[in-house]
Order: sequence, then C-alpha cells, then structure tokens
Amino acid sequence: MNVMKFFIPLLAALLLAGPATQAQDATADALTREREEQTGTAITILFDNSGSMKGEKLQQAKSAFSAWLKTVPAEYKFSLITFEGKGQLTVPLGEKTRDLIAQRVAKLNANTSTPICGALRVAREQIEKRRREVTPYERHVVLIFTDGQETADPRGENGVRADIAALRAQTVEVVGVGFHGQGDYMNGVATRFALANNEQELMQGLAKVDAEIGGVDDLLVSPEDLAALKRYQAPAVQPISASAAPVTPEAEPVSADTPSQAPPASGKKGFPLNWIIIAVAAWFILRTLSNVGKKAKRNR
Amino acid sequence: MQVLLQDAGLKPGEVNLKYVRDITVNPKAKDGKVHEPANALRNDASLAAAACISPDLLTLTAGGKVGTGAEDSVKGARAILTTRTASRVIADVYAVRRDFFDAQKPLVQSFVAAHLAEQKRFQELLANVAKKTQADAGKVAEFKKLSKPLAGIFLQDENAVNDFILWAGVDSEIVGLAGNTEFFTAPNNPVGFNATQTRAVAYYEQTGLVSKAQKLNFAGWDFGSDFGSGLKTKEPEKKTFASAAEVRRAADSKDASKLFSYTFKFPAKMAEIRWQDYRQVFETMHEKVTRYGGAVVQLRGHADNFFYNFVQMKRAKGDTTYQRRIEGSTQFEMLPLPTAEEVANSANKLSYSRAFAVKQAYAQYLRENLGRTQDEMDLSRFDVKGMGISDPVVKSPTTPEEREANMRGELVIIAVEAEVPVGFGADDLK
Repeated sequence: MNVMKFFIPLLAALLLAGPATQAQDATADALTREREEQTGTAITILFDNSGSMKGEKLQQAKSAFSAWLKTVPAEYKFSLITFEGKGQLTVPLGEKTRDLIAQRVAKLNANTSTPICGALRVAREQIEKRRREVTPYERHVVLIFTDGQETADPRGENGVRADIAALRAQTVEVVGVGFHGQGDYMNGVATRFALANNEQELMQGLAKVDAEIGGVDDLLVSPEDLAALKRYQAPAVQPISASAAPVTPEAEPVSADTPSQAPPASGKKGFPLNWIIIAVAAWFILRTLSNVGKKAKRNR
Repeated sequence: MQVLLQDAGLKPGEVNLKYVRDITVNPKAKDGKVHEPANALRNDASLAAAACISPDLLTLTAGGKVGTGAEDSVKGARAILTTRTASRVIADVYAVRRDFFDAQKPLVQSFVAAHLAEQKRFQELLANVAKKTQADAGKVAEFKKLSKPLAGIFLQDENAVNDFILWAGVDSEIVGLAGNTEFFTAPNNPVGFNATQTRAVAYYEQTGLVSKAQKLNFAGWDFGSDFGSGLKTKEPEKKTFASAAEVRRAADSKDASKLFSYTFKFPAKMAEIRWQDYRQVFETMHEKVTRYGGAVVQLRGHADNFFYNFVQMKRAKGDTTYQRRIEGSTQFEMLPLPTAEEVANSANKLSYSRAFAVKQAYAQYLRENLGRTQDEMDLSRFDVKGMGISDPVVKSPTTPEEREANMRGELVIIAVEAEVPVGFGADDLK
C-alpha cells in the first residue's frame, strides 16, 4: 500500500513534468534556432588561385587556411569564391559550410587570371540576395586574399578600391590580406588589412578576419571630446534593410588595424532536465522495487 | 471604436462620433434619409471616416484600393484597418434577460448547444471552400443554399451569397467552442468577456452614453461538459507566416500600414529580459497582440548612437585611436578607432538581440503566466527588427540619461491584410 502511495505521486510528477518540460524546450529551441538563423556572422572568402600562386605559395596558403578555419566557429556561414572566369561562386553561403570550404581550398589549383572586381561583384550580389531572401541582420565579412593585382577589370587597382568602398557602404566588413608583397593597394581602403610573406604571417593576418570591436561602453571621454560631442551634428543613419541599400554614410578609408578578439564561445546546451528527472525517478522506482522484493523475501 | 481610438492615442472628447441606425443600406427604409455609415461618408463631407461592413468598404475604396469618386466610391478613401487585422476588437455575444434565463435555463442551454453545433458545421463548410480546387462541389452548393437567407438578413440581399460567405469566413471569424471557452473563461484574457465589458462600461460612463452602466453576467456554462463531447475546448493556433523572412516581407510590403506603436525602455547592457521584471509591459503587449490578431507585430530594438558619434567626431578631429577600460580593471587600453561599418554591425547586432529578447520573454510570459503550450502560441506574426542607431531619441547624447533614452524597444502593430494568406477568395466560390 505504501509502495503504491509512493508510486502514484512519482509517476504523476513524471507525466506532468515530462511533456511540459519538452514543450518548454521545444519553444526555446525553436526561438534559439530562429535567432541563430537571422543573425551570426557570414564570411565570404575570395581566394586568389591565379597562376602566380602556383607552387609553394599555394601550399602555404592551403596550410594556413586549413589551420585558420579550424579556429573559426563552425556555426558561422561561409562561402568560397575563386578566380575562374570572372569570379566563380564555388561554395554558396550556407550553414555548416566550414569543413566544405576547407576541403575545396585543399583541392584548388593555381591556373586562373586575377578578376578581383569580378569576384567582388559575385560576393556583393550574393550578400544582397541573402539579405533580401534570408536575413538582413547577419554580419557580413568579405576576405580578399590575393598575391596580385586586378587583371580583368580595366579599372585595375582603382576598381578594386572602389568596389571595396561600395561594399563597406553596405555595412560589409572587407578584410584585405596581401600575400608575398602584393595587395598593398587595399591598405587604407579595406576595413582591416594585413600583409603576409609566409605561412605564419598569413595565419596572423587571417586572425583579423573575425575581429569584432567588442563593448562600446567604459570609454575614456576627455572634457575636450565631450565638448566636441555636444557640438557634433550626428549624420542620419539609415536602418538596415533587406533591400541592401547603404546603411551608413560613405565609409571613410582607414588605415588602422582593429584589435583582434577571441571568437565568441559556442553555446553549449545543458543536460536536459527531462533526463535528469527520468533518471532520478528511475532510480527511485528501482530502489523501491528492490526494497519490496527484499521485504517479500524476508516475509517468506 | 473606443479601444481603437485609445490605441491610436486619442481620447473620446477629441473625436466627434456620429451614430447611424443601420449597419448597411436598408432597402425597406423609405424615408429618404441616410441611416448607414457608407452613405453617411458619401453625403457628409465633414466626416473623416466611417466604420462599415466589408462589402461597403470595398465599394467606398474602389475595390480595396483608394476611392476615386466614381462608382459610389469616395475620393481619397482607403481602408485603415478591418476586423481581419483587429480580429479581437468586436465580439458578437448573445444576451437574454435574467428572469428569462432563470426560468428557461434548459432552453437557453439547448440554444447554445445548437448554435455551437452549427458553428462547427459552418467551420467545416468553410474549410471545404478553403480546399479550393479540391473542394467538394456538392458541399459548396449546400453551403451557398444555407447562406442565402443569412445574406438576406445581414446584407439585405439574398443574392449576395458569395459576399456573405467571404464576410463570414475571411473578414470575420467563427470561433466555435474553443473560442467561446477562451473568451468567457480564460483568466487574464485582455480581450475576453470581463476585460471587454470593463472597457466598454468605462467608455459609456466617460462619454455619458449611459447614466448608470451595468455589466452583463456570464451564464456560467461549463464548456467542457455542458454541450456534449464532440467539440474541442482548445484548438492549436494556426501559424500565420512560414518563416521570419516571410513575415519581414509582409511588414516591408508597400501595402503594409503602421497602425500605432508602443515604446518601452531597455536597461543598459541588457541581453536578456525576464517578463516578471516588466509585467506591465508584457501585459500591454499581450493585449495588443491579441486584439490585433491579424496584424504583424513588429518588435524594434534601438541601440544608443553615442559610440558611433564618438568615433565619427574623433575621426573628424584627425584622431586614429581611443581608450577603453579593460574589463575587470581600472586601467584603460589604447585601441584603433573602428570603422563605420564595424560600429554599425555591432549596433545592429545589439539592437536585434534586444528586440529578440523581448520575443523570447513574451513566449515565456505566455507559457509561465498564461499556461500556453507551444501549439497555443502563434509567434510567426512577430517581425523582429534591429534598428541599430538609425532612430535615436536624442541625436547627440552626452549624458547617461540621454544614452538610456536611446536604448529602447518598440512594439509596432502593422496592418498587412494584402499579405496575410487567407483561406479562400471570391474566385473559389464561383
């Protein structure tokens, strides 16, 4: 009788706690998924696989990219644009693409021209489409990795600089990484820039791709700064929109490097409460049955 | 009317109301006078707006667009909102005298039972029409036959069967047992029987329409057992939109119309919200979300623009660095000035996160305070929007108070009738 009294509330508690907790988890999970789908970081890699990269340079680049990709959160969305034709979308932006990018980079051959402007156009169109059709709230970073100069667009370096500025005006962070003494023309116009002459330097340069500015509080504001701020006429800023219109005033060229920041820790889910309740309940049930068995034996 | 004006920020004394006798034109009226809202709007230039039934609304607005003045439309007239958007602003309720109820309770109960059974049948017939090309043609014909006298009663024209079915099935909602249970018995229902009466009585007294207002009593039915067992007292909420991208497209569409907004403060540096800490905010939100059950609910998050201005100002001065306190320390570190897009991305992310935190907290409010399950929530109508620094209250904030004023959330109710998928249209009744 006592055993039944114990069982009934316990099973009732299990029946009540199980579905309720599952429903709670399902709602929370669905919202978390939505938030992750709508925000997060999307990195588009423009990888120079032109003929000049042939040999040791390509091997160094493949090795550095392989190591760097392992450090970037897997939940980021990635895309790979290579230099075949006028720029080829080799891997479109999407979920769980990090490892695919690593595989594709590892198999690249160096045998194309250097259509940086064409590749930037492919990147821009893809970002605009994604903002329109999926979400305008992702942080987009475009990495231009090159060891050379524009060879397909008649505007040459100026074209690359103009196209970078246009992307930045659409709130896209453009990171230029020049390789083996080339690509310096991006310095001062890209959001962040690094020059690398070997694998080690390239890894350091790639670390800038995911740099975020961090907190915007606790600033040191001098009395002069405050006085200047009081006089400052803030320019109008357009809200971010799915139409991919410029959302900031025209981006100013900047030569400063921004500090790199550790990537955000990936969210780990706790052990589901359901399982804990079930495990505890199962232990109670087994122990009680065992006691009942022992008692029955003793009574015999 | 009172609640719509109130939500729009208007008080009764600020609007002159003209009451008319009929809901639509009455062909039997022979006195030559205007007795219904549509003709009142046509004939009286001093009237700014009219509340009318949807067939009249379509005529006044030249088919739901903008009236031209031709073919009985009124030049410049357009629909502001209908009961498809404000889906819980009007409730049709049957009332009987108390002495009759006490003497004839079984009869009244039979009436309610028959009414609920007919509602169920009506819902099934509407669901058949919504199957469009797959609909059972025989049942559609039966539905039209049944609706003929109703079209005569409600639209004064028995031939207007299709208009009547559209009105009953698309522009209004037959709520059945589940809706009646929710309306009469759900605790804390902001658009339920009790809350609606409280608002109505206050309005009558405030406007002097009655000298002594008195509330109606609920009949006290047990909806779970008084009307048989074949009906459900709870139905899953239908998801209005399939994805976040779809609701965003509806909110951004050219036909979308912002009805009103409600602003609330965010504490600085807040990443998550507990609804218990902002009970009044979430109660108000729930009331509006429920009342405008066909609207898009846009949650906007706004970030402070101080840092953006600070960076721009320093850049204008020729500075290339700034100092920020090292976390957990009293020391400052020198950092390069970030670029405009870096600051904008940071602000966009923060503002979106703030707005999304409100959506998450609202889901918790529904679950923990109102006992709703996931099936009983439709969060698909929520469009979360990170406004970044695009709309600061104080354009050049320099004090903590001014910065806090910029950190805020906004609930915007947007009518998107052209964008919300409906069960069926006029073509499906041909």
